[in-house]
Amino acid sequence: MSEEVRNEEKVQATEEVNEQVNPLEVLVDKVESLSSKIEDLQAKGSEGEYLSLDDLQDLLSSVEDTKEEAEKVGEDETVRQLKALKAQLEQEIVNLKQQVLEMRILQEVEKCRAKYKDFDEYQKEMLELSGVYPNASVEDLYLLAKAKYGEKKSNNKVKERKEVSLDELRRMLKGEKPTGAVSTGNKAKTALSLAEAAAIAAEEIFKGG
Amino acid sequence: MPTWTETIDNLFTTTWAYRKEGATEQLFYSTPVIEFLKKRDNVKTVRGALRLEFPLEFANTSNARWITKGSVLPVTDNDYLTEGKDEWKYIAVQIVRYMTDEQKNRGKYQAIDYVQSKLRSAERDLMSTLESAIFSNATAETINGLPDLIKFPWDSNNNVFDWTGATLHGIDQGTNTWFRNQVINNTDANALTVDMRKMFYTLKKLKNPVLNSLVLITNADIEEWYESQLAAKFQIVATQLKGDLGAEGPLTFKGRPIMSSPSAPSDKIYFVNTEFLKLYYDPEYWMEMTEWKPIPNQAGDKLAQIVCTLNLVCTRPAAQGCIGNISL
Repeated sequence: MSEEVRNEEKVQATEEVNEQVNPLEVLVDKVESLSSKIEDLQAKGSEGEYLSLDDLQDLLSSVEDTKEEAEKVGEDETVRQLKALKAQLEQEIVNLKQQVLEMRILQEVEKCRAKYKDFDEYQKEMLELSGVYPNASVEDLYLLAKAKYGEKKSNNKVKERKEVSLDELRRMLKGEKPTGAVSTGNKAKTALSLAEAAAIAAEEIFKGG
Repeated sequence: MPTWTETIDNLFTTTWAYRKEGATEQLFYSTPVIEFLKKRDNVKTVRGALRLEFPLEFANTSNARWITKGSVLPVTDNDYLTEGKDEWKYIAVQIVRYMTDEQKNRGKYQAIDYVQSKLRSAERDLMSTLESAIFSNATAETINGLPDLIKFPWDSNNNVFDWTGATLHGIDQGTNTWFRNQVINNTDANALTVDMRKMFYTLKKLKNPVLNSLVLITNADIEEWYESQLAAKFQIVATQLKGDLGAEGPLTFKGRPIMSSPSAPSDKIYFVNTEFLKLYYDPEYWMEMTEWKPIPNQAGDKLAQIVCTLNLVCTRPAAQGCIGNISL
């Protein structure tokens, strides 16, 4: 056997030994790189930047694969670390989905507010209906609320108008507001001044003479 | 057919029945403190209680948490509320009628004028009595005044604030420091604006200070001094030919109104947070006119009273302040 062949065999043997060591090192590297990627993403999120759902899901599948590898190798500590990372990532995904949902609802609200002038009048009713129909869109909730309670609200408005006009009428019938009464700061429209009260009382008491 | 004196009885009672609501409004708007309480919806009604019992606020629940999926919120309710107690106080204004006046005012229109004049005078009495009570210490008969609710316990012998023995709504302010209001002793009139700023920021440092409901109440001399301080800073906008060398409308300090009340002390500025000051009254015993009773040994003379049941309470003294010993 020539020297050259022997050297080649040595190199091959060394590579074989290295191959036996490498899976663990690779695993450790992978875990480290995954941890730092997750930390980066968390920092990004806490600084108010948007996280991408795809990034998070890619990372989650990488963690899942690495965990399987570690389980094959029998690296319990690494498996434990990866399980923790997986839980962290799943939490981030839930948070992100919640944020996206909230943003979508807010956008819908703004859109509806611009579209329907009386949108805000039905806030309470829409909230109630959202408990009954949790999957309904904001616009559907508004239309439902308006259909269900709209009549009541418009009746109130008519009543309000009626009351104002009666008040006006009452004042017209009574004539000009007397100036002799204590009047500074009397802000109640329905409360009578002393002169008005005395005039009405006198009408009642002296009627018929 | 009723006699003339019975007719006058009826006219008084009926006029008052119609006027009661207006008189109530008038009374509430007659002093700056009550007016601001009314605006803040802090004039409250309580019907027929043995005594006034109301929650005091001195902290937050501290139960708000940032949560993630599955987080558990604390279920314990921190003891942030406790109860204050106080007594009802009654104010009565007397209306006296003399037979001779009744005899002279015979006739429908004279009677109306007569009734108006008597009732107007009674209303004014009520207003001025209430206004003056707001700036006086409570007695067995009178309501809590600002000196009780926003104390200035300066011990001039030792030049320190001495809270020993001070109580409010049954709570000892000497030992319960959380139930004390903020105080600043003004030693130099030239530094009053500095003290005012200091008081404002002292109140601002509180958790949830609700400073938008802050009103500064003082007497006319201090209000005038304040306007004179502002004079150099007025901006003159000449858009049409008219002039006014005084400030129009209420003056403000950091956007909060500063107003005077006739009975306010001349050496204090009260920083009244109207969010935590409440006027309670019993609507069943409010502006009620009693029946006319003959005055013994006075031929044909009668009297009646208009009675009100109320008291003024403070639910969070820490949010109130007083700058005292001002000598302009």
